[in-house]
Amino acid sequence: MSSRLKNLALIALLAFALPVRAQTGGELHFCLHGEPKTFNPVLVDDEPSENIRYLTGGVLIRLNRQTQALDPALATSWKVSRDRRTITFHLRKGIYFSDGTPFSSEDVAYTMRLLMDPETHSTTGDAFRSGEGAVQVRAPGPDIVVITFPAPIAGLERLFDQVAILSAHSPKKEMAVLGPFYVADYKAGSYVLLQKNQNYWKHDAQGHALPYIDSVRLDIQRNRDIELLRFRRGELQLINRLDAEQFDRLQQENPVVTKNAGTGLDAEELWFNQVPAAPLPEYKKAWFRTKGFRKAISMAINRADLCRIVYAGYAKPAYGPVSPSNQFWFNKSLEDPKYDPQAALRLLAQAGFRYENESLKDRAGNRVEFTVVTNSGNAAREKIATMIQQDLTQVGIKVNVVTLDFPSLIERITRTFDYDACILGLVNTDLDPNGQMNVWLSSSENHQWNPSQKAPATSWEAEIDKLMREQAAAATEKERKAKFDRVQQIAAEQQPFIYLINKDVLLAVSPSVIGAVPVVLNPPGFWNVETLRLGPAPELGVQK
Amino acid sequence: MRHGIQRIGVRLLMLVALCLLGGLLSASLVRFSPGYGVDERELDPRLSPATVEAIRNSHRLNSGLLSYYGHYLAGAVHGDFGSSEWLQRPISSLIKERLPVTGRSVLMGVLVAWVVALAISLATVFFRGYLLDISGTLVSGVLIALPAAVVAIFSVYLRTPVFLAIALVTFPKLFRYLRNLLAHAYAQPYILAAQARGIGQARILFHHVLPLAAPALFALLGVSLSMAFGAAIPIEALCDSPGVGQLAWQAALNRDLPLIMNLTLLVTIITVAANSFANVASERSL
Repeated sequence: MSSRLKNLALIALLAFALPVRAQTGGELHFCLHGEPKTFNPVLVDDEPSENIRYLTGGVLIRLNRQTQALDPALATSWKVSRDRRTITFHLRKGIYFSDGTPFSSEDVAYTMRLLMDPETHSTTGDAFRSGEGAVQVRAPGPDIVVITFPAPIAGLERLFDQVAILSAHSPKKEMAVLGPFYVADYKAGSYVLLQKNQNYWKHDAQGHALPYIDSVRLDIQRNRDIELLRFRRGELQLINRLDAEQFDRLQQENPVVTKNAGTGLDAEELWFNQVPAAPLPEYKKAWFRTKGFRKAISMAINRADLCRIVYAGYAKPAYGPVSPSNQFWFNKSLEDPKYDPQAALRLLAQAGFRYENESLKDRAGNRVEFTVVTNSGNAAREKIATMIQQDLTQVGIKVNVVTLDFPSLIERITRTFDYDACILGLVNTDLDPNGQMNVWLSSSENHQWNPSQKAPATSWEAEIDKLMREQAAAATEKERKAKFDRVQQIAAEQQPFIYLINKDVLLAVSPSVIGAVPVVLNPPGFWNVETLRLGPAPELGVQK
Repeated sequence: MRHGIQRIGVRLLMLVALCLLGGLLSASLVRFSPGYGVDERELDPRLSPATVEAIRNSHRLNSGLLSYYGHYLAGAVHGDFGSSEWLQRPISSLIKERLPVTGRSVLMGVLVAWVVALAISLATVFFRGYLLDISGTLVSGVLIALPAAVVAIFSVYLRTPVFLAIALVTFPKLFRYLRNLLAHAYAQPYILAAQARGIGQARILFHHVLPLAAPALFALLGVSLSMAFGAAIPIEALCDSPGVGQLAWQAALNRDLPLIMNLTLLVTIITVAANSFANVASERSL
């Protein structure tokens, strides 16, 4: 080969090789919205720590955030017994923690024991608590683990997506991890730096070690406006959750970077205080306990306007406790929430209310007026409250809006019960209805409209209690779905929670991040972090 | 001599009493604010009743104010300042991480504010130009009317370091006082006499003006330090600078009694120390 030809070949080789090289390595940079409270995956109960657990923790089974199906991870296979109490895992062999300690069934046993220890008070562990009694963990071989729970657990396998395995022997304790990254540096209040775990077990189809990215820098940034500012300057490559207003602004400036993953799982809802001991006048309690009253309020609220005005169109009217994006569990036969103030007035008349001179009065002649509380500092919720205030004037109801800071609000809705109605959002991290068990059981503290009941106050609450317990013990997913569909139907008929909207999951992703596929499940932007690549950073084309 | 020691002793005792009183008052404010002892995690439907109970118990430990204060003091004497309820970490380590960040910003901020204020005040006194005087007064007037939080927001958008925001908040208060102080000093008859004799400006400044103004200047230094420290809290909270100010803001939002208690004590001690430094310095130079 002549030297000229050789040069040409070399140039051609470089031309092909360069783009590939540019796409591995590099640092992904985005923000956590608060201080991570812990790096111990067992103790995680806040979102920043949860994000770090997702990036660093190795789990037995991974819920695929896109397909909503379960993928094998550290366990190559698993089997749940017929009574749904026992699960047997076959573990992947030849795996090492980030510090070089070998991984075996002992580590899984150690993690499960720690997780289920009542003294640990682990949120993750609480999801596995189905009945009284101890959890038995056996490791009959180095790559087999058998876990037996005291009572059947519905959707058992899915819960393991949250269980990051700790090392039983590593001197580094929880800092030795099995996930794609490990925590290399942390400066309180400032940042967390994650480095690629060289011992990570996963490889791509071509046999290249994953993850492609070398490090992830997570700045601790509470102020969302600063986060957006920094993204626009090109300092950050990803914003995991944008509010609708920010998204709309960014969309107009640079539509390439904005990503709408679709309707999310979280809902905003309004509920009336039905606690019998609440320090409210008896006539008010009587309104709030009247099904017709709650249904009429629900009908008089223009949800489409809420979506259009409060969320700039990036939200959908909510039907019930399950978002339509929860593909399996959503009850498709539920009716759309209708906006019809005239029908609402008819319902109120049937329930004994009178509409005179543009104001609504009950049988005893009391003017219908109530106060809605919500947390201050949440602009969207404050706007929702104001719009509901306007909507309800059409049916003659006077609504006062009061915003309280979060601790004061929680004190009112959980301790003193000194409130009429409340607007809050229910965060749904779990697709499975078991995650909502404490919301629906009348004996539970999270049964917000009337918590901690000794015996169900109404027949429909008794029926929900029964259905929720039955679905948890049912043998097949189909049976469970039938039971939970009925719960959704009762919720729609009784409106203990008046569901308002489901927000879209809105993100901003820099074009330099290759392979990002935003989804509605947490974490929406980086769920596939191990296959993300960083390309050259093109000019964002927005204000510098 | 004995009299001097006694005086210092009495003053120290008063300082300690003042700090403790400040701590107790702030603890009472937090303790009786609505929503004390509740935790956002209680709304998490994933938690079991036992876990919720454990969270509540952890708050109940500190609910009796006087007994908490007593326990706290007993622990503090042995170097144990307790643990933060919100971050579940020892408070001494939280403060150790963050104090240097705030210390650096405050010192730099005060230094910049002093240099600029001194330079402009001297220029107005030396040149006696109306234009300089009016523009200096106007700028400082506008700045003095800006709350620290507004300055912090500007600093976020312009991406200036935190110490500049602190300097900007401290500067106007310093400038007005310094300018009057220097103008007053230069108006003294013996300075006029010195000028009439043709003594150099530098010599007049360093030998006659500054020594005369020194006590007031030291007092001002102390006050400006405590002012800057006070301004650091909203500025750090808004700029997300990982210092004591940000920690205090978060602690207040999370009703973290032990952390608030310690931080208030810290701020009280720093303020009181800076002010007493000012007092002592001004007395000694007299």
